[in-house]
Formats: sequence, C-alpha cells, structure tokens
Amino acid sequence: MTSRTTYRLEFWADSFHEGNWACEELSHFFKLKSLHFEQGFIPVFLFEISSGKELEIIVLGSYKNWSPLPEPIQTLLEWGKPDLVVFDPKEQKIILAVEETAAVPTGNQALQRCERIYGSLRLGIPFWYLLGEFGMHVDGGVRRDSIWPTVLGIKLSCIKRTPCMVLHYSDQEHPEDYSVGEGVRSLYSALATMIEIFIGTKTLSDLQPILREQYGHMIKFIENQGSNVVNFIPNKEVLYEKNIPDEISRLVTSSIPISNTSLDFFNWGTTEDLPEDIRKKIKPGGLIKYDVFIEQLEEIVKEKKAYTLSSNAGSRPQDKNMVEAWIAEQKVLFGRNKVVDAGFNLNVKDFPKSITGRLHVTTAKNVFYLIDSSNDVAEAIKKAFPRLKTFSFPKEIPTFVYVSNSLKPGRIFGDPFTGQLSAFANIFTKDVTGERTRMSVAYYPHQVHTQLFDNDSKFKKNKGIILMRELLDYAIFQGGIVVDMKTGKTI
Amino acid sequence: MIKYSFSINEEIARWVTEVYVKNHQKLGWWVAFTNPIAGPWKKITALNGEGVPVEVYRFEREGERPDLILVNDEYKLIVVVEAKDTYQKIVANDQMKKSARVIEEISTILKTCANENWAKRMEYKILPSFLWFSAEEQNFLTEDKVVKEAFEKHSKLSSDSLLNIIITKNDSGDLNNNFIYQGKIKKDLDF
Repeated sequence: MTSRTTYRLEFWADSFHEGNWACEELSHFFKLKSLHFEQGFIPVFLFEISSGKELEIIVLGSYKNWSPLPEPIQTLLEWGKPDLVVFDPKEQKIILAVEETAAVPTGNQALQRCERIYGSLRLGIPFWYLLGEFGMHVDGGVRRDSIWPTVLGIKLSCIKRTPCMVLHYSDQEHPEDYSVGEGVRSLYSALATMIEIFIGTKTLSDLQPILREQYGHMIKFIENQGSNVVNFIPNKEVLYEKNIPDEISRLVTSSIPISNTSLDFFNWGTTEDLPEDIRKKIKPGGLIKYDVFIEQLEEIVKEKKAYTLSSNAGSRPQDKNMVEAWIAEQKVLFGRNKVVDAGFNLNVKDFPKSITGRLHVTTAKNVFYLIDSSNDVAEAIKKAFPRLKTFSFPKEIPTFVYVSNSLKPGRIFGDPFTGQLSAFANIFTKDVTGERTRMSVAYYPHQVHTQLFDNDSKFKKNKGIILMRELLDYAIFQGGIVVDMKTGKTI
Repeated sequence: MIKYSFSINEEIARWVTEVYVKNHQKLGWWVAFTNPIAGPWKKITALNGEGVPVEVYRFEREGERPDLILVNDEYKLIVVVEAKDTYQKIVANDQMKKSARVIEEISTILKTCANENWAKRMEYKILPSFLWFSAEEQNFLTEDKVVKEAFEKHSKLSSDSLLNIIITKNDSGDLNNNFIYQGKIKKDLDF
C-alpha cells in the first residue's frame, strides 16, 4: 500500500470568487479530485499533485470576516488588501500574494496599487500584479497602462531578490478582456509552480523559465510603452539586452547570494548623466497655484541643475467651500505646532479659480523633481522660508523631491499618494542593489506636520506614516516646517 | 476542518446562494452575473449553444449593477438579486430606492438585449429578488413582508413576483438558503 501525504494551503481572498477562480485555474495544472463546501459555502478543493501527494486548498473569502485572522496576513493587509494571498497554515507563512484589477489603467489607477506591491516586497513576499494593458476610459478612448508599476516591479525584484511581477491581459482590440493575452495563463503557471515548490515536487530553479518569460514581457512592455510616459530611460540598452530577463530570474530564485551589479539600469542620474538632447530640452514646467518653495525648485530646473520626467500632472480643482473647510481644519491642526517661529499661512485667496469657478490646489505641474545636489534643495528651502536661513542637509547628494498638493487633512496617508510615493521613492532613490543614490524629500505645501505625531510628539503608526518614514529622509510641510523622517525632529 | 469563525456580510451571503446554484445543477439555474468586489466578472454572460459562457452585456464603468443574476432556461425565469447582510439595510429608504432602480434598469436591459446568445431569453419572466441573512427562522415571513412593502413603495414592478432569499445558519453552523415566494418558504429554488 502506497502512503499518501496531504498538504494544506489556505487561499485568502478579497472575495470568494478570487480564490475560487484561482483554484479553477489550477485544475488546468493539477488533477482536481474533489470539491466540497464546508459549512455550506467554504470551498475545499482537493488536488492530486503527484503520486502519493495531494493538496487541499481551503478558500476563505472576504478577509475581515474571519477570526482569528493569521498575524502574517493581518500585517500584509495593513498595506492594502491583495486579491489573493496563498498561506501555509502550518508554518504560518505567506507563500505569495496576487493583485488583479479590472480597473482602467490610467492616471493614479496604475500607481495607487503600488503600495501593495511595496508592502508585499518589504516583507519578502513574492507578488504578482495582473492588470489590463489596455482599458476603456470613461471618454470612450482606449488607454494603455503606465510603465511605473512595471519599472517598480523590476526594481524591487532586484533590490529584494524576490519575484515582483507585473503581468498584462487584453490588447488594443480587446481592452479589459482577461481572456486575451498571456497574463492569466502566465500567472497561474507561476502559481502552480510555486505550489509544487511548497510541496517539494519542484525547486526554485523550476520557476526560473516562467519568471524569465514574465520579466521578458515586462521589459518588452517598457520598451514599447516607455517613450509615451517618459522622455528618458537610463541605460535602456542594458535593460533591453537579451540576457537580462534570465539574469533577474536567476537573481530572485537563487538561494545563494549572486551579484546584481551587472543590472545597471533604472538609475536616473544627475543632469550631467543625461543624453545631450534630453539635457538641452530641460525647462521649468511652470506652476498652476503659486508656491514659494516650488518656485525655487523651478529655478533650479531653469539652471539645468534638476529635471523632471513629465509635466502633465492634472489639476482637479476643488469646491471653494471644501477648500475653506480644509484650510480651517489644517489651521486647527497647526495649533499643536511647537516650532515657535513658524506660522500658518494657508489662505483661500491664494488658490486660483479654474474656468468652472472651482479652486486649483495644484502647484507644480509635475509630481517630482530630480535635483543634482541636496545643497541646491537646502538653498531653495532657505530662500522660500527665511526663518530657516541656517538650514543645511548633513551631506551633499542628488535629491528626489516628491510633491503632493493634497489639502484635505489626512489624505496624504492614503491612496493615491502613498502609492505614488511607494513607486517613485523606490524607483528614483535607490539603484538595483538597494544602495541609496538620492536623498528622498517630500513637500506637502497644504498639509500640517502635526498630523505625523501623537500627543507625546512621537510618530503615529498608521500605514502612511510607516511608509513615509521608510521612504523619505525629510518632509517639508505647510509653513516650511521640515521634519526629519528618521528621528522625528522638527525644524 | 475549518479552524476560523466567521461573521456574515453581503459577500458571504451572496456567495452562499451561488454555492447553492453550483450544488443544485439539476435544477437548471446558472449565474449570468455576480458582483463581487473586484475581478473579471463585471459583465453579463450567457451560455452559448455549446454551454460555454460568453459575454452578452458589459456594464458601464460607473454604472449601477445588481449583486447577482440567475437564469433558468427550463423555467424561463431570470432572478435579479440585490443583496445586503440584513433586511434592515435593504429596506433603508435610500437603499430600497436604489435597489428598485437597479432592478428596473437591468430588467429593461435584459428584455432588450438582442445579443444572439441572449435573444431567446428576452421573453423570460424576471423575478425581482432581495437576499439577506437572518438568524431567526420564525422571523422569515415578517421580514419578507417588510421587504415586500418597501419594494412596493419604490418600484413600479409588481411585488407579486418578488422572490426573497434568506440565508440562515443551522444548528451545525452551516449556512443555507431559504427562498420565499408568494408567502411560502421553500428550501429549493424549484417552481
């Protein structure tokens, strides 16, 4: 009589459909022996993986309705709810997470899920993100996905040496169609292999060919779509080399440390590193709402000591009554300020009217600046906020400055701003080995710094603040108050 | 053996009915549309001549959708379901207004959808339906009556054909469906 071993996994999911769908797709890879529903609704799939080895998968839909929620899942969910989490209950370990979306990949849609990507990777959890390459916009036009989630996926794969994949479905003629393209098949091929690695019938090296294909797709996508999003992808000739998908797939599956120094791409350097034609074209993007600090940053761009990659940040004007209410709320928050010589200076009359009569809150037309020297940023701070006339950063280093114009209190700690920061800070402040290449600074002209702190002047611990502390060195708030995001010191 | 306890929400309640449909295929019901939080399910599908589900209607991005659409080709019936975890949420004024509107709008869509894989179903009778969880079996008919009255107040559709689905938990903790049609509680969705 042959012995039979039954392995168990839990598929935690946002909805039962997500988990059930995953199991149905797995039946293309493993023989489904049985399916029954515990308690009238909980799917329990039994697969035969190989002779003598079975896998029981229990699907638990709607995370928050279950108790006790396993601690690793609770921790991951703090960074957003992936659609599927594959969990080993015996070892209390997450094997992988999957996010899939039918949302149109335009504007912030593509970026807002980047905090989930980062949230998973920072915990060392392999992540697959499945989304439509082409989607139908509300205006009836077909839009194509942004490159940023894919760039982030490749960069985090290299830094964390963990698979971080972005897969696409649909095509131009079949927008939003899951059945078109390789994405769905490729996702479940990877999932099936990960399950076999869990069971022991395959090893990490068996995952390499699938990852090689997936990284190949990701790079091809950047090659095709990159020029529609940015004017410059550094060292793209290295990225497009034939062997790169293989190198990254080996890097993320190797159990022994291997060098990733040959993967020298996605390192947006100083203006001196720019191709001459790109450098020549550097020019300030202009402001929609005047801001004293942004004006200084624009001056640095004018001097060709900083650059931006696009200047098409959309302005979404806000209702005047809301603007007034938010300013009033921010003023109350500023009451807890302990920086004695700083003042609150938000005023509704400074917000220009749009053609509809609503008020613009957007300052810069771009979301971030890449500045050659932190000294120039320090000078800009001094000029913009005269009380900081002795301000300096501890060292000179190229600097990334992220701008969020949000005015509603608390908004900067959630979507889409945390997603933007997750994507851009990881992409622009680190190289593929994880070494810091730029200082990371955020500017929140309409938000008050006291929101970061509890009554004891200690950092609060919500997701947004944890993320900001991990990804920012300094944040500059309303009134020119600079917060050292590592120590909490306010200047 | 499941080692976790659960609380009921709309997602779980709706899923219990979907599981019933999966487990009672001999009755001939199939799911044409379901509205979970996300995923590739935001379209109405119908079985083509080969029994394969194909898209017959895609909701507008911001369009309102019901929570579930069930079809039975033998009975020539379509059930359009609005779900909540409790009946109190269903009869809340704004909610019932919205639900009645959604059911009426989707009924019009289904009665005029000329897609070749749907066309024969344009003539099917449409049953408006509400789905919720209730802990007490003795309250089923009272809750059904309250929902029916609220529906009558807000919809021009006849409440005579209202099919309410009440999810409940038995002594073993299993969730099951109860179908209330024309004042009678049925354990199965047969006609």
